[in-house]
Amino acid sequence: MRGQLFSFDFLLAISIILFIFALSMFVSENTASSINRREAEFDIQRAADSALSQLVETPGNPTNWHTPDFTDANVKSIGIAASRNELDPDKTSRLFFIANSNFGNYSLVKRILALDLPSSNFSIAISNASKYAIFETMVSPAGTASVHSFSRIAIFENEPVLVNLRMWVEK
Amino acid sequence: MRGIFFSIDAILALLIAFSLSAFILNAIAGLPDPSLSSSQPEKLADDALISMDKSGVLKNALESKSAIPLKEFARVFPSNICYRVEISGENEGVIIADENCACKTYSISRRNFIISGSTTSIYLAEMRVCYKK
Repeated sequence: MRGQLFSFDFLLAISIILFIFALSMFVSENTASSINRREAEFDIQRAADSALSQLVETPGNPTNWHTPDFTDANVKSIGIAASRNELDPDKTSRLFFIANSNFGNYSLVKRILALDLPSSNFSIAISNASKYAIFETMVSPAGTASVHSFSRIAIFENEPVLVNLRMWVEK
Repeated sequence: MRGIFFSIDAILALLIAFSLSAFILNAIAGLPDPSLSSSQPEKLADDALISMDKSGVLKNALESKSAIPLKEFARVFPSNICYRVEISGENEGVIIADENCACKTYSISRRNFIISGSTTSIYLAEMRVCYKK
């Protein structure tokens, strides 16, 4: 009678302990992966915010970055604004010409805009109020990538435009 | 007697274990989804007011006493955005307002601007932006 009681007691205790152990494993794994995902997403957000601010609010460094050869040595930062939120048509078209000319230049633009996070890529589009893309980069995400989209509003040739930056991590 | 005592003990232990696990799971499920764009409405509101001011949209709206210039400009907002824009005078309250939809909470940006004519007047433009639910 006593042995039977002990056995049931023991089994119950073991099953509760196992249940709690499994639950804590599940919780810790879940929390760790959730934190990692958030960290990665916040990195993307920080990079995108900074790149968009650089583009829409500054003229770049040097301010005539669009005229000489586009190299690491010549260009410190890329900005397409004549003044804050007012896009310079020459700089804007030059940026898209460079980014679309070859993959080497696309990568250089990515590096200068500090968008070169591990395995990530970006695309930029400038569209007018009718949602027509006036400028856009040619690189686009594969179907499986999860894409994060960030937008800023500016004026281009006295018309409002939406500057949209999309970032994704290649799987 | 011992059996009953043990049974209450076990039931209590199970109740505690289950309520603890339910609490933990609930806490995990209740964590807010990571929002990548929490700063986006704020920036869009700032951008919109600066751009409206620089492109003369605020002035046009005031001079025509019409919300159409504001509405035209606001077409540029992403489709998942709700906005409300108001222009107020120094002593006049809200003169012109426009909105596309409403939200419970907004990111708000304000900008003063001056219109010079025979007299100089200061106006306040306020832009409220949020994500559509």
